[in-house]
Amino acid sequence: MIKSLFKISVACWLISLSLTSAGAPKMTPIDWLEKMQKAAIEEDYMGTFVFSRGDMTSSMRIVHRYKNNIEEERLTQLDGEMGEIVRRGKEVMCVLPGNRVVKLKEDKMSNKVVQAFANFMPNHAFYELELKGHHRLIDRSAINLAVQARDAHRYSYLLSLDKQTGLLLKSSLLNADGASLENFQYADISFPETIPDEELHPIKEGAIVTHEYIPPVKSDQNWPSHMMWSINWIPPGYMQVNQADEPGDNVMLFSDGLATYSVFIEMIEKDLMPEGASMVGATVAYTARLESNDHHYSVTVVGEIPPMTAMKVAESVKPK
Amino acid sequence: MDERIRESISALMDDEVNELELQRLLTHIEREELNDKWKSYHKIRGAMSPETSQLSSQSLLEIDISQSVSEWIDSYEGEEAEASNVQSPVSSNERNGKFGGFIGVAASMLFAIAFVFQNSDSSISQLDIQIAETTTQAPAVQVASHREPKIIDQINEDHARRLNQYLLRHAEHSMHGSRQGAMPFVRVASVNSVGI
Repeated sequence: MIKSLFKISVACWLISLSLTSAGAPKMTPIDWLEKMQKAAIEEDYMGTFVFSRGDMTSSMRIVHRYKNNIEEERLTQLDGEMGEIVRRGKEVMCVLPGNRVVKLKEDKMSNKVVQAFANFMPNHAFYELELKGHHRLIDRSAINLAVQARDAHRYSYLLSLDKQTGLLLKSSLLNADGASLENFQYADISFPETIPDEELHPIKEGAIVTHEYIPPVKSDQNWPSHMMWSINWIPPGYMQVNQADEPGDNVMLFSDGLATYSVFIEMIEKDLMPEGASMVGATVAYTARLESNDHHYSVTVVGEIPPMTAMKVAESVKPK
Repeated sequence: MDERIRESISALMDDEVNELELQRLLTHIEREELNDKWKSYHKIRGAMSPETSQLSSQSLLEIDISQSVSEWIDSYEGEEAEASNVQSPVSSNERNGKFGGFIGVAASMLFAIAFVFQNSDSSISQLDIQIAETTTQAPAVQVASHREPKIIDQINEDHARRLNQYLLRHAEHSMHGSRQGAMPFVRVASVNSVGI
């Protein structure tokens, strides 16, 4: 009798398991992108990865913690001279060789990014998303996701996400010819229960000598105080994700849900970037020096977008 | 449209369709939606890599393969009915062979059309492509055709420092809501130059 009951209960358990797995909704590519975003913010992890673009390869160590709704991160260069980027919430600090600490002076743009940006998903009209099976990566099961650009205004991505957490373990960014512009891959990773505070402190905190601030993007004193800017060409699929609706707002951010680019409008200075595109792997910084109604200004578009797209955006910026 | 159908169409365009996906497509081949999606994908592909061809692109877009395949199916079913009427047993292998032949013919037609589309006329790229659901807020103002951007090969120390500052600012912006995680700062940290 007992044996029969046991057999029945095992059978019922197996049936419910199969029904549960059969009925469980399969994750779509968009679901995986959402999971990837959530993991990048909320998972506690540490690991070592290799990042390469062109002939340049860097090894780095990363520690990431999400505690009390604050994201903390420390990136340490393992090659060449020691350097670190330490982030706590919105504060970003670079620790450079020679005991220099450089911080970003907070600009008002940071506070104006619309909440909708976090929920802005890449549109099917501009990207084709496709799951490409799974494979084993650094001894973990990973899902492969192909994100194919449908036009010339964005790049394509090949992503491998940790199946358990969704964290990005490997990525390649490809141009329209299929050439890889940058590659990223973890060599090892762990997800500890807790990460102690010491892991997130800069290594030379006690020996810091100089503190510097990178100033906000400067506008020209000669511009009218009410001056505002319009970007007359936005590539299809991108939208502005910060509010730049006050006079003097001269920094704008755009995104298509995956790629982002920033537009900096500033006064002409002697040490500004030369006109044209400076490429660092997949990142372009295109500077144009423009003039409109006797106003001289410089526009620099920075982002992981094709140089032609950056140029067209930069040259379309006009005073309102 | 079912996501699997879309994926199967995409696989067919890339010559990576397997038999299951092909059968799925053939099951739905008479649906207008499938033909529209087929045309739409090829319009987009044509815009991305236009090549000249002597074939008329518009006439190619108007090809509806469902009629041809339906007629083939009818003729195949007719043969089967005739076979059963004369009561001569048709072996399962023979049926499978015929069905396999049908799949082969349909696949050949689809591949042929895909091949032709790949060589289609550059006029496709000139079509006013209406891609659904743009999220662009500002009106897309047509900008005159541009020259190629000037690529700067070398910059001096001051420019390198300014470039790093832009990269850092852009990384700071990108971390707001970006699904790239630490990638923006990884890019900054990897720049091997004079530093910020």
